[in-house]
Amino acid sequence: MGLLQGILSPSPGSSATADSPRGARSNFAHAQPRQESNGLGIMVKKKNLWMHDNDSGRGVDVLTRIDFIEKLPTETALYLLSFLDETMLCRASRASRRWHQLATDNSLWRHIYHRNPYWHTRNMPKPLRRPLSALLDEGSQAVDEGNQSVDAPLPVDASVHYMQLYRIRKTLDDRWREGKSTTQVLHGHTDSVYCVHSDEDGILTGSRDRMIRQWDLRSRECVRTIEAHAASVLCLRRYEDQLITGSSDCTARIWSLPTFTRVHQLVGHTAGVLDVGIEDDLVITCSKDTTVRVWDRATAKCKATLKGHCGPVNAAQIKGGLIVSASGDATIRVWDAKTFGCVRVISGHLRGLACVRFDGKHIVSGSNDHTIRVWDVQTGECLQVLEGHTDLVRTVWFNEQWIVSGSYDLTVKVWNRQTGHLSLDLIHGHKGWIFDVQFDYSKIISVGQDRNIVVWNFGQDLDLTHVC
Amino acid sequence: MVRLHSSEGSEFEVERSVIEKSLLIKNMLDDVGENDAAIPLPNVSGPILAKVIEYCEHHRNDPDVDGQNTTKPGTSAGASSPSSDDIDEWDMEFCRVDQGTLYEMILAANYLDIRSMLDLTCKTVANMIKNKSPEEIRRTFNITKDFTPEEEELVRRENAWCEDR
Repeated sequence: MGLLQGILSPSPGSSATADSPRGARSNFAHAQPRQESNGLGIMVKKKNLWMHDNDSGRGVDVLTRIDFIEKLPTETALYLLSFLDETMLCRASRASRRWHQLATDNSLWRHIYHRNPYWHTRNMPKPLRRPLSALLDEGSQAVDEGNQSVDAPLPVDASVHYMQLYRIRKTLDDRWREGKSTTQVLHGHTDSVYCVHSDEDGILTGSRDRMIRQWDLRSRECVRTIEAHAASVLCLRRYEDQLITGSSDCTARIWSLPTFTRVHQLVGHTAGVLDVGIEDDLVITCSKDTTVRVWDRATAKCKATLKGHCGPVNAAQIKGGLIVSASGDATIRVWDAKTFGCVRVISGHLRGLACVRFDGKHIVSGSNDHTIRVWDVQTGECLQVLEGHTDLVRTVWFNEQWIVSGSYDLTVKVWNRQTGHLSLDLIHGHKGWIFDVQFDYSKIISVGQDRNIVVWNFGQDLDLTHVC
Repeated sequence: MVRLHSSEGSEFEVERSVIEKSLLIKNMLDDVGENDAAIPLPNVSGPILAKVIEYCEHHRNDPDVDGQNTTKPGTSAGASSPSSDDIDEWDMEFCRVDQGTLYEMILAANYLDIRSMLDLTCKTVANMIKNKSPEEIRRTFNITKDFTPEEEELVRRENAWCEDR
């Protein structure tokens, strides 16, 4: 071993032996007979010189040893490190000062963070390029407009620690996967809660008690109660500074936020308004009267009545110029929001549909046949069937990563969007039918017959200022 | 044919379509047009240039797509290390060289702007780092541990979150 040591460690007295774990070094020495290591030029290739043990790095010749990270230009060294996963980067950062400096580099971790297609950032500080006075004039509006793409040539802001963001976002992801949430129940409504909307400004819920309640996101206190309709509030959606509500009093109403001033009343349906949607200058409503109506958002004039379904239209959504509606007649219809013509009838569910969501490309629907189905809007093809609920699937919500559903079987289920596999089964939240769910990166909110608003929070004790 | 001069003045002749895998040379040829003058590559030694040409010859018919170092949507999130396991047999054999040569190959691929070869050589080193402890990494690359004991403890604690998984 002594003879070999001189060749393997060009600088005598380097710490190679001193900090070797017990035993590892001697195995290594035996693997490389002495005579083979003499007199080799840089390009010599002899098969018998390649080592295949774990120590040599999968068959790379061990005769010369180069500290790549120390010697390569910084940019290239960072590029090399970008082929490692986060665990290996953390370990690599413990090798030496230089390795630490590069393996914890902020631009590298920004790249690693954005390598995950589902991870986004928000509230990122703008690069400080303008004079301070201009910033001060803007007051507190230090919020960016959108997600910063990984290739954007913006300098990495030193005030955002991407390794830290990575760690937080990863923790959040792990908790989603493992179902580690804390739950909080918001009390206030005096009857079934039919609908929920949640965003940065708070949570809004509508109930059979005819009220809309507004809840503070942080304190989870009810901060406002509005007597919204003459009967149950069945559905609500927020879009920009307006809120649309639909009721079993056969009307829908448009409210101006944040004052909750009533702007318009949409009258025309002859039965309860079961769902509402809004995009740009159009508002849509669907009803138990089997029709979908399209309204002008500014004037509240009914522009069209979409007829075709032969059962109650339980859910509808407008997105990208298309209207998607789901009916108790077991079909989904896709309508053109300009011509108001029906462009496609999608069938496949065995019983009536209770809910539908649409992202412009895919439709996710839930049915009384207990399944959730994912459809391609262009072809009408059924891409996935999610089975697991044991009763009517009343509500679905989805993003690029998850599908969350709520059912009359009293459970909320989380499905992996890519695989269609059941990921989480949240069974202890409700004692009655679940009527609506919504979720974002850190929480699921479900509401139901038991009057409960349940917040399943995955972000407990995490600083979520910059991640989403 | 294109003539190339390595750092020590050795001359290599190679088909233009082959060596145009190097964006540096491709741009050069596009700028000056093909002529008899040899292209001097003062940063690349003969043995390394031979390796580069070997690489370009073998991969001459590869589709000209940049190896994107990103996870494709749809692959499981979180397990986000870009795959360094997708190296085929020829490439693996091609990179079976001593660390000094590998180092020179990275520099050459970087200088000559051959993205796929840079990816391959970097992945090869990344694979040598993988699944090793900090101590094993030091041993593999003959790195001198220059942390003070306090720094080492600090760095260990800073990275404990990754080891818990």
